[in-house]
Amino acid sequence: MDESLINIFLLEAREQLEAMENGLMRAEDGGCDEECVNAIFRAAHTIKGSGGMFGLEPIVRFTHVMESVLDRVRIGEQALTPELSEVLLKCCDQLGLLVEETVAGRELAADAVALGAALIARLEVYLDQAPQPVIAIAAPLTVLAAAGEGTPACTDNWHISLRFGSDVLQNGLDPLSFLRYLSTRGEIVSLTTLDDSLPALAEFQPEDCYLGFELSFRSEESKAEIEAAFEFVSNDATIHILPPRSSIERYVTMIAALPESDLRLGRILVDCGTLTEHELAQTLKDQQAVPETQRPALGEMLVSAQRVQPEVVAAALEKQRSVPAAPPPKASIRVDAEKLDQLINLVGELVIAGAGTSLTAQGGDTAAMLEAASTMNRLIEEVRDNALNLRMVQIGDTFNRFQRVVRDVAKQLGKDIHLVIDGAETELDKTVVEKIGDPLMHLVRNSMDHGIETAVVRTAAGKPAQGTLRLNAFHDAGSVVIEVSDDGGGLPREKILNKAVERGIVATGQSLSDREIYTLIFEPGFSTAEQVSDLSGRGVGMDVVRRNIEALRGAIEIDSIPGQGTTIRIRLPLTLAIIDGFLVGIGESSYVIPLDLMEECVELPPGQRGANHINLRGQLLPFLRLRQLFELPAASLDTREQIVIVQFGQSRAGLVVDALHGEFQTVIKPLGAMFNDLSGISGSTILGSGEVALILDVPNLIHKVVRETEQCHALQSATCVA
Amino acid sequence: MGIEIHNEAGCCHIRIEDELTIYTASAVAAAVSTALNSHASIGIDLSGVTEIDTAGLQILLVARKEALLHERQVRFIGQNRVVLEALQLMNLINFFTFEAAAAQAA
Repeated sequence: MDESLINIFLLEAREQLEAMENGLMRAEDGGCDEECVNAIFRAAHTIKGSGGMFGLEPIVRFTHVMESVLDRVRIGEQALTPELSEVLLKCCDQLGLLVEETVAGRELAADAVALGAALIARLEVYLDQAPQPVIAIAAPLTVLAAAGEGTPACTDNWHISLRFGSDVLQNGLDPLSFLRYLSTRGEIVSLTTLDDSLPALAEFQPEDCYLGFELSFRSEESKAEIEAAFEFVSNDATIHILPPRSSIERYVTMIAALPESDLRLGRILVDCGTLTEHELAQTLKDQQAVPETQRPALGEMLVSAQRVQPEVVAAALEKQRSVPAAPPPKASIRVDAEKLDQLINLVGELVIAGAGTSLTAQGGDTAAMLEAASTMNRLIEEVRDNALNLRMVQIGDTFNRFQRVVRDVAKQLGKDIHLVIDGAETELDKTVVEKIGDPLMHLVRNSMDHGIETAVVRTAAGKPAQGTLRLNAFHDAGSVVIEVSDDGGGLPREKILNKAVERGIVATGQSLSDREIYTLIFEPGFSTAEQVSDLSGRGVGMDVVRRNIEALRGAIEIDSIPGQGTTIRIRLPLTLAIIDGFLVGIGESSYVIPLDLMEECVELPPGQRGANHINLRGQLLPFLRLRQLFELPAASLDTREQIVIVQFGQSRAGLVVDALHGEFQTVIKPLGAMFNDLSGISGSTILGSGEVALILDVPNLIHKVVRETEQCHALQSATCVA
Repeated sequence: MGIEIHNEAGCCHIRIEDELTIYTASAVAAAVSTALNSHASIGIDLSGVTEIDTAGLQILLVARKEALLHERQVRFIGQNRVVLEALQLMNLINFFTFEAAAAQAA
């Protein structure tokens, strides 16, 4: 049995629910126009349809009520009031739960069932009003003598012809379920099952489908709605749909296209009530006139055009036009995340192999060899970039989920808060996007709880009553920056300082810059909230946030202006797998510095044994001797040393090394659990020569240098080199 | 799902328990095929069927067709509500005659 189809249903149902949720939230804000309402309706409609395909009764039943109410809204009989949107949003949540549980084959918990029933009851209130009279579609035959389309048949019903492909049962669809489902959308006035394709028992394959159906179907639904009901099954069946009163020609064409004999089919159509005896005689006569129609391929759905109806049924046309066509298919495919990771891995190996080849080529002398190696490297780089690009996803989806969060939390807190999103198209590695969700959630909740004041306080301070929370993302020099800002009261500087002194994190009288004080809130167990609220204030949040960000090789910093607001800035690497690096040497060992964090290289004048600062163009730059840090044997006195100047965020520092070996791209190989506590090293790589080089954890090293410098200041002693 | 086969006066009875669906279709079809190869008359007892789908209905149709083609006798036993409802939906009720289930053999 093919599991993948039901997974597709699950994924698409989730997408539909998201679309529905977005539309309903717009409705709450009063910004839901006709197209928005249609989108909401379509989402419910699609979930119901697909649920029916798979025989998922609970989903169909629940969505049916939602759809009925939404239908009334769509045709203008019911207004989409904020109360109704609220109920529908809750139904959206319930439906989400229903979909997940039903697909997983689990029963709903008792309280969830009760909630579902309560929601249905609330929805049904909206259905109780007397519906407006629907303008009847039936029109006398004479009025419909038409323009060049041939004589129409007089049936008021749709004629649907289904020939299922042999694989339909193995694909998880059941024609029987489908027929049951059709009966919920209208009345199957008459049906004939064709078993002409059924072979003898000796040739019979029990898991193939041999059945076809001709049915006469009465329904008030529009052509688009009926077509939509067949969407999910259209890949596994040949379908003909003829609207009521189609021209005889259409039936003739359909009969010619079907595999069974014309006479037999004609008979079936009469038995169905689709054609009268008279009309049948006419079709058989017209058969000669119609050219041999090629049998449509499996998956083709032939629906003849709806006849033009006279003005009397203009209302019916209006209804049809208000259901827009299905959105054009996106030009994208779903890819297994595992397969993508495998690809990236292979590309990584390729990069290493390429480096090895280059090295060998350089060792030899042949110009041709060098050229070949160079071409190969260029191609490898391109493949690498393309492969990495596949892993990039826009952060917009993650940001959008916060609309709902902000709405719910604002309600809970009794505050009026508006979410602004910028830079939604900014792309990140998919793993990063997945892992950034939780930290962001915490920061957002924090801002809403502690940052933004209540409307009363805000108006008193001369600010607009509605607070603004802003999520922003952009690229900056090889990193991705995500900002969470609010226009609230800013961080309470004094409170934080006092708390830190209280906890012994900071010595009394120690002078700290504003930024250093704000960064204190990332210390474990730190919280200045007077009351621990449900959301935040327990002091277990911010340090976890920072750790999560650092685990992604990122960093977090805070800017705040008292009375005006706070901005929290998260800086993340663009990709976690392969980086462009710069190879340096210290003694016998090689190290790699991420290229995008490097600013420049400067020679360290000899004889600076005790120094740890240099004057770089008038600015004081602290540096770190890696030889010392990594406890490598001391260099001889006349070794020339270089300082590589690196930067991360707002900080800069120098790293002292012996030799500079040049740019080179590298695959980051993790070091393994044993090395987790190793600071200053973030990974390793294999050079073309087979040697292992360690990758420097630049942010960590810079942090070290900055710390040491501060301690230096605190001790009031620094040896500077002019 | 269970398939019980027992012979009674030259007629091979196949009793199907629980599911007659795509999951059990192969097994049931094989049993029917074997029975028809060695007996001129078989009975398919559906009184114990709890669930039926298109694949299950197809087996009934194939059995019936085989009987017509090769002059065998296939009897359908048990007026099972689940089976009848499915046949009704597909408008195939008139293709079949269902005998009342016989009293359980000791």
